[in-house]
Amino acid sequence: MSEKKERPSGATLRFERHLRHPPEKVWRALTEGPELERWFPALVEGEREVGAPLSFVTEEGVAEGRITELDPPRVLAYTWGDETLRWELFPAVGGCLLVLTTTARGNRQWDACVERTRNALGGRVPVARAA
Amino acid sequence: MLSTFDVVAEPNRRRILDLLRVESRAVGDLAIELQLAQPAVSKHLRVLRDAGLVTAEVDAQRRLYKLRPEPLRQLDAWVAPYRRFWSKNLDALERHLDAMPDDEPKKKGRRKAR
Repeated sequence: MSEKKERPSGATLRFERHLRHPPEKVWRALTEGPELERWFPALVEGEREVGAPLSFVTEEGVAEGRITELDPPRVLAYTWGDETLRWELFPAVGGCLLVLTTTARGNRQWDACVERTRNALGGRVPVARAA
Repeated sequence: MLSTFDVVAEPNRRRILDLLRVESRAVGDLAIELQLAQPAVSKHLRVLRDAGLVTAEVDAQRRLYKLRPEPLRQLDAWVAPYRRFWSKNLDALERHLDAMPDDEPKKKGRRKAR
């Protein structure tokens, strides 16, 4: 069952925020147009249904995506261009825990860059800890 | 050859890197610490060496594996803008939630975007 083509490699980032708001409210902020407009980095258009296509409009242009998971008010996942975003809400004392998982896709140019840098001396880039 | 991402994606290799971050170790020590069979650890170390993430130094009779931080720093540098981007967006989400009323305003047709 192995595929010949190389699968893209990428990094998964995980963010956790303890929010002082109930999951249902956070869910609205994550999914409803008028709420998203107030904080989300793109204008999101599309039906809120599993499998539904989404359009993300930013200054750079329009990117396409699709809703992959929708289980209110617990899990919301969709693709945005090359990225996958998964939002999970866990009830917690005083509100909820938000976990955002996003995969940023690497590409071959990046891998080549890492290779070159690995072989070179130096690299004074500071190590940042995960958010 | 595996890319740095693929190498680091494997959980046991990440655990090895975490241990080597603290101090250089021999295969046997790593195996005990991770509760893995030594051949499995050797295999992972081979992958890590090939990717330039660890080097081996001979210390008396043993071979000690040591972390090379440069590839991880580069990985981190690549990831940093994404991390900052979403961190900022989550800050904006929190600010918006603080301003947003708790009660749901009455409206119909919530399934459409706008």
